[in-house]
Amino acid sequence: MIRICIIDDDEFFARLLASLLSGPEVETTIAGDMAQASGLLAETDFDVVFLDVRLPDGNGLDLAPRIKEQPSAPELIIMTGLGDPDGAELAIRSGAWDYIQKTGTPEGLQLSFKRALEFRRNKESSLPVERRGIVGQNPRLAEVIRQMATAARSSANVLILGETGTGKEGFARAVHANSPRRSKNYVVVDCASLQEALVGSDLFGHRKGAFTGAISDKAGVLQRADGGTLFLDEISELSLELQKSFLRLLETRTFRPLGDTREVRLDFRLICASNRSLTDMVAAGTFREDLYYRIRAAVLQLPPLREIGDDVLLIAAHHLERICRDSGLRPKALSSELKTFFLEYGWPGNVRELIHVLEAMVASAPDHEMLVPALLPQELRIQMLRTRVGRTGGQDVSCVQEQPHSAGPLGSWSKYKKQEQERVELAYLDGLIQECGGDLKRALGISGLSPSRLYGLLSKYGRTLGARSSNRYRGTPREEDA
Amino acid sequence: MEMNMKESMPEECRGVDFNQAVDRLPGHLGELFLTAGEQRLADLDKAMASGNAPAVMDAAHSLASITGLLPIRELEVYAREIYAAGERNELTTAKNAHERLDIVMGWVLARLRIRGTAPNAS
Repeated sequence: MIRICIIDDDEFFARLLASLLSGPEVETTIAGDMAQASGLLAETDFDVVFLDVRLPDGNGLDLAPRIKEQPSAPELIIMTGLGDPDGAELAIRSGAWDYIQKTGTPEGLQLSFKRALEFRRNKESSLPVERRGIVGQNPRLAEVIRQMATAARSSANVLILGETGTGKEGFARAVHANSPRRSKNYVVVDCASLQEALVGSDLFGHRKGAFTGAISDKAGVLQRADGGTLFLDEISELSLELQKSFLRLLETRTFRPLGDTREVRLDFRLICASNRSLTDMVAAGTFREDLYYRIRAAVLQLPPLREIGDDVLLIAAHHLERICRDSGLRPKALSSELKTFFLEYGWPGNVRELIHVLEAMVASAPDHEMLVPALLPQELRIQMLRTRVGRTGGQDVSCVQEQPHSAGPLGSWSKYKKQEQERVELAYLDGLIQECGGDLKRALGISGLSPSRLYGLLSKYGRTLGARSSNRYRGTPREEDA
Repeated sequence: MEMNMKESMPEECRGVDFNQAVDRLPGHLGELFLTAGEQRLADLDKAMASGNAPAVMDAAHSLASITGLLPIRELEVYAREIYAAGERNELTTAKNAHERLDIVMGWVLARLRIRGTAPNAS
């Protein structure tokens, strides 16, 4: 999201400029005077600031140093009108990126903005980013990493959204690691596990004698975040009562430990994460709208694993290498068939699920040099088989439902049912033969069939566990594991 | 709708493509543009009539910021002249510029009122 601030008391011109700069990734805020602008600059980090020289409560240029000192170091564009000194001189003296004349054409205004953005992007891309284990090259991921790095350098509150397991905490750590607060504490509060009764004392701390059992002063979790970063994971799980407490904390940056009469001031950067739609929750009245707007100065929307293409393999290789290293094992590789499955599988649990799968596979075959599909957890093997059945059998069950009489005129139910049953049985059998690699025990384990039933099916369709009859195989030959 | 204003068209407006000017204006700001223009013109007239130099400068400055949308270069020149006269506190020297600006801007705003500020409204 590109954040623009227009500081101008000329309502028409400010709105015109906002319209000219508008876009899906652009958020524009207008300040009509210096006082209003000061308030906005204090709570939001902007990418570009348009500053008029003539403002009702003073000379706009007096704000320039403050704008340039923002953690996000926005690009400053001075707007000059009649009677203002030379724009170029003003721009240089105030450290501005550019100047525009308010009497200029709309195209001129847009061009200046585009150039500033381009300059900013180049500047940001040249800055090193500490990825903290975030792996991937997909453009969507790269864009989120760029946004993360930008947000990290500011002091803006960051909201990280994404499905479960997409790596929200990893991104939160990366924000901290790339921020000026990196040498201070990074404190995580799991909102889903907060117990209402203990929250007051645990989060805010207490004074000796505040309640029975408070035998000494105790600092709360929040105090550990002073100067550093506070990460509220699963913020959607906060009760409305706690949302109120956090809102107050965010607004005043102060809190009062239990039993204390004094307010304690805290300086922290807030990062929140949620896998639920907070906008829906706001609409449903289960999440405070004012808190929502407070926590979303910068928003990182993490893509699910299934939407970042080949990056799945990069991420898998990265974590496989780490798992082996942590377990003191020799490095392992992924077989080509396993890679194919990793690319095809939907990964509902995202990166977290991928890591668990790899851990399970490594644990079950510590001495193997290569991970093959046979090592997948049972439910994934079944999933893989289903996928293969769909491919080798020519049609899967859903296709059958969509095309009940695709083979010709509809006959009797019993005849149709028999034909379809045989087709599905054969497709399953071929998949099973390929999956078990000639191992009867594995075939029985995967299929859940009794030995006699399995042999009956093999015999019925002229198949053996070791090989398929080539004249009846209808699937596409697949690359075998090395 | 083609206006019957050709006879009274100020020479500064000859050859000006008003459709292009309107196309540059974001649709939802059309009415605001007309209102702001008329208001600023009225403010300038009032300030000139009362001889209030600072108010003249303010009004000329405001008017100038909306002239960028109109492809009539003279408007900015007149606004600058008026502003400079206000700065010197010699408003009488800007009488001609004020008169021309009044005529041109007034004519343009009236034309746009009739034509409408939606793209292709003509």
